[in-house]
Formats: sequence, structure tokens, C-alpha cells
Amino acid sequence: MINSNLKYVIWFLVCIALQVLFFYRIQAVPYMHVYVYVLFLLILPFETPAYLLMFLALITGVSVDAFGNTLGMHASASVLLAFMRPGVLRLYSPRDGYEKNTSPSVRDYGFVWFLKYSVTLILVHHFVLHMIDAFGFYLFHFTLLRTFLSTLATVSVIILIQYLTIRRK
Amino acid sequence: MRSLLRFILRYHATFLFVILEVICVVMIVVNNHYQRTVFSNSAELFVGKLQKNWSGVTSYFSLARENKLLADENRRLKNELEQRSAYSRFFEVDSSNVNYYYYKADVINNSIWNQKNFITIDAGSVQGISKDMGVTGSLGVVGIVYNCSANYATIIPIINTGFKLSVKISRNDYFGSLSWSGSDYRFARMAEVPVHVEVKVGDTIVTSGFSAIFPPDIPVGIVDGFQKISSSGLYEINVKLFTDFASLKHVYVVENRNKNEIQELEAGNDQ
Repeated sequence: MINSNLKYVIWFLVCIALQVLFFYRIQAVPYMHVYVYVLFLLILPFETPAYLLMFLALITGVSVDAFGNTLGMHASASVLLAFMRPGVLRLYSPRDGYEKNTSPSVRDYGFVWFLKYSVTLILVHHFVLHMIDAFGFYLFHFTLLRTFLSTLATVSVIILIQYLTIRRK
Repeated sequence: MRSLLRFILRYHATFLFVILEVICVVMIVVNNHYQRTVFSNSAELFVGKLQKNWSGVTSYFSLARENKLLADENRRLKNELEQRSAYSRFFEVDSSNVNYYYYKADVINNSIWNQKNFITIDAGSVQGISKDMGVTGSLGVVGIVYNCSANYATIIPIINTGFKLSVKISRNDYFGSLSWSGSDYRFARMAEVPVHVEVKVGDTIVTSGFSAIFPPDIPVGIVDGFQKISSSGLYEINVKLFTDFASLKHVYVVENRNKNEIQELEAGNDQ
């Protein structure tokens, strides 16, 4: 139990560090941002209670916000993601439910399942994030463009990270 | 009472969600209003130090480019100095007449893809920087100091939708106001230019010096295209900015030594 908690603490730190030190600085393609830190919220175990999920999302969001001068933006999008996660998991649940000792990952439930699961949540997260950034419907098409391109980028990076870390387990 | 409690327990997730979102919205709104409270501020010591150390690591990768840029600037300044010293042989130059003073700083954090972009630099009130000073780069205007702590300052660059600056067309001195549309970090727009003014693609746009923030004739960009706005009968000019915000490293902060005097004088105009 302690071991698995430690694992998630490390994931948390790695995700925040990747976001702040690396992906915040990569601005290669216009409108394409990678918000890799949502990976931490996606891979938390199935049994995580809803309240804990939301608190962790708040902490993650505020940490990322603190480094980007965007206090509250990432936090509110992340809390929404955490709130929706149990529902989305139920929506994509296999016929027999989720098995014990598994986690929502490519390793345990396959590429297609993880793609559906992550695209749904990340799309909502990114849309809310970019809406708050624009703070209104001015230049709405840019908001949509940012949302779609960033979702594409974030999902690709997250799935890549999943494949890179699969063997180590 | 008991059923109320059961109700709350049953929907605790939803209640918690609403409470947390309200907290987040408050944070966003407070941040938009005062826009750099002590907590969120990346000018804050801890985050600022971390960013400075990290940008110290990353700056090595662009050293060659930066050197070339600075050498170019040196060459230009030396030529100008040569011309001036030719003048000063004939005229007495009094250093107390110098109105503008430059400080140097390095960019330690920068964003270009948001609508409200900000830049953080590694100099603050201890180094002599204060609010509302102008910021230029080697190539042209960068922005205006928005807030500063002891050792760091944040800047509103041209590419922030809240930015506004008085600029003029260098060739004929007609002025207008520069702002950013929020889409492309390489371009800004100059508005409020009457249609009888002759504008050409390729004209240089420079600061007007009206704002007491920048000295006059600091380069901003060149005219990339323009169109007449039919409703107002004014030109809207698309300006290609000189400053490359995607690779900004060194900046200069400009202090206008007479700014307080000018502002006090102008404050009297309202009465």
C-alpha cells in the first residue's frame, strides 16, 4: 500500500516537472500545447474516492498554475476532469466491470480503451481551459482550434509515455 | 435533519465539486483583477529563482544566435556613437539633460500562445526597475513593466490583448495606437490612422514618445498591409513586429527620468 502510494507521489512530481520544465517551454507548433500533467489524474487507481480525486486535481492544477501565472485556470479544468472521471470510467466499463489490482492504463485495458477514455476527458479539460483563457466567445474559432490541436498533442504524448513506462513494471 | 445529512453524503462528490470550482473561479477572478497577487505571482521569489536557474541551463542552447544579435546591435550603436561624437566637437553636451536611462535584464519566463501573454525578467525594484517602465529588446519594443518585486518583474508584452501603445509612422509622423488581436505573435495592428494619411507597405512604425514610457523613434515594426474600416473611415494597419517574441532573451528597461514631472503636469488637465 505504502509502496503504491509512493509510486503515485513520484508520478505526481514527474508529471508536474515534465509540464513546468519541459512542455511549458516547447512552443513549436502554433496553437498546440501539451498539458501532460493530466496523465497523473488519468492513471490514479479505480478505487480512488471521488473527493480525493478532486482534491488531488486541485493540488495538481494549482501547482501547474503557479508556474504559468494562470492561477485557477488549470485548477478548475482539472477539478472538472476529476469530477467527470468516475462517470466516464462507468461509460467505458467492460462488461464484467474493472478487475481488481488493475489501473486505468494502456497496459491493463489496451490501446483503444485508453484512447477513448483519455480523449473524452482531455477534450473537455482542454476546452474548459482555453475557454477560461479567452474568457469569452471572442475569437471562438481560435479557442476551438487550440482545443483540438492541443488534445491531439496531449493524448499522443500521454500514450507515448504509457508505452515507454510499460516494460519497467 | 438526518435525511438532509444523508442527502449531502449521497451527493458529496457533487457538492465538493461545486465548492472546489467556486474556489477556482474566485482564484481566476481575483487573478484577473489584481492580476498578480502575492501567491500566483511568478515574480515571487521561489518560483522566480527556480525559473531563473532553469533558464540559465536552457540559455546555453541559443548562445550563438544571441551573440550575433548583440554584436549586430553593438555595431549599430558604435556607428551612431561615432556620428554623435562628430557632433559634440561643435556642441557642448550636458549629461544632466539625458532623459532616458536603460537597465538590462534577462527573460526568465515567456509565453506567446495565450491571449494574455506575460514575460518575467530577472530584475526588480532593487535593480531600479519600477512599474510602467518601457521594455525594449535588441530589435525593437517588447512591452511595459506590469509589476515588480524585489528581484523580478513581469512585463505585459505587445502580444497581450490588454496592451496599448501610442506609435507613429516614421516617414510622416502620423500617429495611431498599437494593440494586438490575440492570434499571431508576429503581428500587431495599428488603429486610428485617418485615411488621408499616405501609408505604404514597408513603412517603419516607431514609438511616438507621447506616453512618457518610451523615448520617441524606438522601432516597433513595419507595415505589412492595411485596410480601410468602412464604419469609422480610419485605416487599420497590420504591423509585422521587429521583436521575435518566440526567442526573446535579453531586454532593456527604459526609465524616463522626467516621467513624474510630465504626469503631474498632465494630471492638472482634468480639473
